[in-house]
Amino acid sequence: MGKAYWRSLDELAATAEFQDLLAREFPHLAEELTDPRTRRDFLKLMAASLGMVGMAACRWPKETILPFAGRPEGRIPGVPQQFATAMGLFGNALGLLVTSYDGRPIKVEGNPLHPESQGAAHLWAQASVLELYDPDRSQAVVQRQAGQRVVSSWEAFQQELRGLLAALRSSQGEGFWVLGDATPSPTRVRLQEKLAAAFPRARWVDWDPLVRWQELSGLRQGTGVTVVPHLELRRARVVASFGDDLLLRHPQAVANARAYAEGRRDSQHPLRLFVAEPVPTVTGAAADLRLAAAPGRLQQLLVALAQELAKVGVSLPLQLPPVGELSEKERAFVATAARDLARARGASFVAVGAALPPACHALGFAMNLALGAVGSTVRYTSTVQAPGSASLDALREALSRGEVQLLLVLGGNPARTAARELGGEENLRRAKSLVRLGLYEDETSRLAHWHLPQAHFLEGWGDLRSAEGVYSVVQPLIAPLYGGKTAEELLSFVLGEERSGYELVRESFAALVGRADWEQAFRKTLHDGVWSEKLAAPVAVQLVDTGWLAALRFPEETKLAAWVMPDSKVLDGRFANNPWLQELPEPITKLTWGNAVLLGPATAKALGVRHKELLRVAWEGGEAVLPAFLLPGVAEGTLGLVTGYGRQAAGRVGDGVGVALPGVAAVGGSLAVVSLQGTGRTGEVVSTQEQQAIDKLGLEALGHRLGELVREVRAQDPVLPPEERTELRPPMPWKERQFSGEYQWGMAVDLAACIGCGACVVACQAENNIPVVGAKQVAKGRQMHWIRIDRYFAGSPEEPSFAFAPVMCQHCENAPCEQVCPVAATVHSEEGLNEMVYNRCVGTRYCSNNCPYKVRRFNYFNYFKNVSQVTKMAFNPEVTVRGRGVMEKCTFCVQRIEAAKIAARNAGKPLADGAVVPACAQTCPTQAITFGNLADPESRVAKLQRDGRAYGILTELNTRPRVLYLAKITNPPEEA
Amino acid sequence: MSLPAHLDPTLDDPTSRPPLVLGQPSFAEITEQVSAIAERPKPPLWWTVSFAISLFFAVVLLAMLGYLFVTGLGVWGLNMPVAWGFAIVNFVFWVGIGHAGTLISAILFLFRQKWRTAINRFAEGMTIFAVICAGLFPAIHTGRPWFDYWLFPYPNQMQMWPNFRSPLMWDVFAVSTYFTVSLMFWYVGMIPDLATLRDRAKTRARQIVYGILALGWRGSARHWHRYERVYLLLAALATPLVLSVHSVVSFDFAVSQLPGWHATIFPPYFVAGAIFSGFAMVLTLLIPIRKAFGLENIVTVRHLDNMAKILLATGLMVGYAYGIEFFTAWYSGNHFEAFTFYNRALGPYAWAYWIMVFCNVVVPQVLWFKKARTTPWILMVTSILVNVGMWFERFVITVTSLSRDFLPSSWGYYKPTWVDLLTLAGSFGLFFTLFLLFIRFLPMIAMAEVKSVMPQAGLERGPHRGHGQYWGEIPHQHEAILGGDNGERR
Repeated sequence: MGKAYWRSLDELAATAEFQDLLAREFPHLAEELTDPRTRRDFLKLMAASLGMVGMAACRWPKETILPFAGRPEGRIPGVPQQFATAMGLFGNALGLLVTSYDGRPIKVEGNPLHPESQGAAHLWAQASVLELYDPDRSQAVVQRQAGQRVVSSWEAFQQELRGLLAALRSSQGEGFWVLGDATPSPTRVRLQEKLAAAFPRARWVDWDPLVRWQELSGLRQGTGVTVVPHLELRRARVVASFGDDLLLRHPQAVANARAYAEGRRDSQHPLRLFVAEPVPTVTGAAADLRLAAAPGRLQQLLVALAQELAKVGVSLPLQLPPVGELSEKERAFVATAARDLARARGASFVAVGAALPPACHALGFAMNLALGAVGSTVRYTSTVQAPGSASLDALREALSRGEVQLLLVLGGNPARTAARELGGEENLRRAKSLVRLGLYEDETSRLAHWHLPQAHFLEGWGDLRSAEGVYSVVQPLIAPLYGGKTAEELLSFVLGEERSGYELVRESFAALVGRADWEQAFRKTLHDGVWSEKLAAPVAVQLVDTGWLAALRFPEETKLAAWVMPDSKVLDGRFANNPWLQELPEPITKLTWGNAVLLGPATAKALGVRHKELLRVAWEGGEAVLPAFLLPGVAEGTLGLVTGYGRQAAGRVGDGVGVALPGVAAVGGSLAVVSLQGTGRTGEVVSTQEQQAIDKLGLEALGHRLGELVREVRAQDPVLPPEERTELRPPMPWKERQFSGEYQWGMAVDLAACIGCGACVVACQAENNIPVVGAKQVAKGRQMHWIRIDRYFAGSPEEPSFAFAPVMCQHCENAPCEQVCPVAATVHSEEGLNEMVYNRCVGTRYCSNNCPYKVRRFNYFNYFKNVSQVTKMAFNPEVTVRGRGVMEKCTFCVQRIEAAKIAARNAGKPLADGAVVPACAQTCPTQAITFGNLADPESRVAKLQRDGRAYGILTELNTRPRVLYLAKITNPPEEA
Repeated sequence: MSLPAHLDPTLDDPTSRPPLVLGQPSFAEITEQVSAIAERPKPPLWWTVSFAISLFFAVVLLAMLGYLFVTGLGVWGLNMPVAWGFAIVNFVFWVGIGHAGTLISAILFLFRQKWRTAINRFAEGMTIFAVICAGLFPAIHTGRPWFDYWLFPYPNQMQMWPNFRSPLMWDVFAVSTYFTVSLMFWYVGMIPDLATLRDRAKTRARQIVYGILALGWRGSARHWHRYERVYLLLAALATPLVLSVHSVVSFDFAVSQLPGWHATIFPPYFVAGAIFSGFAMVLTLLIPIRKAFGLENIVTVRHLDNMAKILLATGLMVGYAYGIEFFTAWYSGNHFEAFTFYNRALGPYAWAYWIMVFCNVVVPQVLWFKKARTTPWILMVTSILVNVGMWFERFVITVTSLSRDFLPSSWGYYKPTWVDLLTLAGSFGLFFTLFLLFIRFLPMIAMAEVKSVMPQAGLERGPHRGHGQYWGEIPHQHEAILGGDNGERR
């Protein structure tokens, strides 16, 4: 922009350069706009459009900018505050507590009062703060006319919309369609109903590939009523999953994981998990008996299970179709599962994968009903969705007939995730006006006539209801960075009301509470984050056969079938531009920055496919070229594929990462493979473990060591044999150092609970300003995560068992790293922490060489050089941002320890147990990590370290780690 | 082709000592032969070409260092777990090479091995330059090299001492001591010869420069007396360094707990290896240079034979160490240790391991044969292969142990980048630049010492004289030497 000063916003807006700049097709590639500028310049530039943000739609009491004369109550500069809010994902709500530092959110944690969270948060919640500060998010209202992209304004949009709506009002809303993103928001439902009243002929469709549509449909068919399931797996002791990733890709993943861990730790009635799945997931990894079943076999297995249940006295009033031949393993699996499910009547549950057809879900419901699970481990409640929702098919029809006058897309990314269902781009373009509200200018925005920037959930008002009916207010922690609006505000405008999100939510709450003194309750809800007085009423359900049983078809057996799932990190692609999630190693494959086609070693051998060889996979409707990744545990003849990659409109981070799967149904599931060809070329696969295929010698060594690294005990007798209880402090012939600190910090990691999801890794990255290094550097082995989750396979490649071990700095009392640092940059505190002194580190890296756990990370480059100004707002100010040439590692979140100590000292009381919670321990859905003061024998961590399952890793090196591991608990079933 | 007995200097006849300088030249002829090399107004063409190439690579080194400092250590192939790569391998390689010079200068002096006189200056020079190259690498391989001075124990405002328990600290002392003592030894030893060049200087500039360097040497008895005393003392100082410096360098590995590094055999193993590679480098340099400058009568076949014998001996020690490491790993029952060694031989770096074994164990066996020891080109090839093998030995030790250690989840592969390779090549450029300058301008053979082992020096006469210089006999012995050339004008 040069040094030409402008005297008014008008002058600025009128300059040719400015117009030119913003007229480019891809705003997120216009580096001048964001990166080298300071935030102040950026705001100067954007003030033109910011100034035009409708002051009319004022959603926050107007305030002038003045420095504080007196400190506002409860706000101390430099002392963070936490505010309760909630996040919607998979069609459910997760209550959160977000830490706000000097008026901006920097860390997300779970809300202990919210039953879905119980204090924990999944990895997507942890990564959401980076999504908020994404410089590639859409920053302006954009209009597309005749292929030209023009930056516009809210006012201009509102002008046009008024015209469109006036036309529609006369026709009672004929041709007015709204495509929502299935957010379970009572306010949105209320506005939806109002819209239906104002435009009686308008149609509303909800679409989100992560919502379990097949299950909802199946339940509707199986019960005759519209219900939503709510799992209570904490009451379950036998769970059988058929292709369902209960512990990670599930609306109640966090609660399910907690229930799973508690079930594992229950020595009286230990949990037993059966999983039949084509491709390994964290749920399958946690299973006591796992069957690698080809995608086409899952339905037969379900029916076979029903038949077996009948044999053990749990009969279904249904005429089940004959199943056909089952293999030995399948028979054993089904028989054992049926036996155990029946034995645990009332405490058992059958889970059916989201991608399986509705008939399977109806059958699953039937089994659960017969097992007495309904009312115990699962409850069915009425849905939050407004009635009369139309279907995607109807929308496609309307589009193809040219009947759509105005299509309002709220959130989501249907041009990508519903491409097949909606008939592709050409069909969407048939809408006369396509208005899209979105976080990013993505694939859908490129087709839209109007793109409106959406306010992120951390910057706008809203509300959410969990499946159980727990109500949470989504309150913003920062004013919208880019002048975005929430979907509810947009709807309010459509209705001609122009209310702010704040007012809308208050109205909804008042209506919900139904009392005159609702204001009091509202304040409490804002504070607590939950309002649980009016939970969704349970609906009594019975089994009905509406013909779904007849529709239960077994798919044709093909030699090669693919199983498609949303990726474990970027899901359906919505998080593709989130570098934390791209760099997070996928739980099972440890892949980063891309996807691959997963094959079992036997299948690969039969097909003559090498590891990392590029394969062309073709199915009906599309094909893709992906590198092959040999993974133990993939069913024979099955290819594992994940969606969410290969985007071209995600942003600078996500564009071009991985390979897209065109023409695949967004819900995933079984996919018939038409052809599979090797190309002979080798592809790029970036994995944090086993970058090279491990040779036989290495595999032998691995097998030898695994038993020591990850120890196992049986659930019935969860005590390690005496020879395995590692000698932690063998006496030394010299006088040993005594630590004089009042607190002695230590940690216990429960391997029985860890499912390998990776939430701890993202939380640590968020808390400690850990840089993202990118695909090329990860390929070299330079990822910077302070905590990593080691994944090991044991047993045969066809039927492996899986083990996860989260490894962070062990804070060894006799640390090998401390002894070899020439400049004493790593020292030991009196409280037992191994402290890394960044400003003293010269970078010889001897400490890393001597660390047997290899938990230290080195800044080989200045990884913060290209971080944009906006992203810097996500940094935690209490943690140093490390420079080039300096070593770093887990500090047990020393900033949290110190903050707690200061608070305790000010209060004049000693630190209570549980007052200090490092980021990893805080967010873990299964509460696998416990931290505390070992000097207090009554603290949880001290008790856990004395547990019969506790052992240390590599203690024979006399490192004396402060982190002990609790052996994995297995509960294998007896032979059927 | 075997020479008749009275002409073959490599014969070991206990009744007579073969001449160490062939052709029975006079002192003046020795002076002339050696000084003429440094006095040529124009260097030979091959020198100019070699110098240009070396200088080019030295500049490449500078460029790589600049790139490294500006961008960061990521330009090398390092990662986690392999945090030490080429830089440390090169460091140990160059430091090891330096040990030959000090052994020849100091230890062979104390053992009264008179044949050392023809090669000691040359070898000691090689040591100095090798240590310069070596010292470069630990300085640049740190993440923040501008703070390298923190490794020195100097009084500072932080009130921080460095951590003396760290082997890297010991390296600082060892290498700096080694460099200092070697430099002093080499320089002091050169003073009489610098005086010779001063006295023969044809241009004013040379007269001044050599004059300053010669520190006013007059060749008087007193000067000689002091010279011999200092020489003996420095030899005594330098001798333990031959053993200690590389032992300390080996502690970088041995004191850590990495399997494959943590072995008590490392100090003697590394010292033997250092002498092995050092002698190989001396041979590699000496053989072409003695041919090019016509010094075969001073650096005779006997010298080559002796050096080859030392090469063989140390090569056998290194080979033994390889074998005993394997045995220890197996016998210990420590599966981490055992795996490390099987991994070296059979894992992803097996190619490096077998190059190392071939070059260090198989190739030197040819030196059992006198024919091989006395044929310069065979020695040349052998010594080059030995150096390659020794570089790979350090590579195998450093990289394979790091790449697969305790926890299989952090196993990783190291691949050098072009910056790594050019930096290594650049260090050779630096070494050869300095070395070529040395042979161009400084007396590369210790003329005064060579003369002392010639028959004219009168040290061989009499039954009780035959072991070189004794204390107390210095004055009149040196008169015999002095009478030959010092004070003589050309």
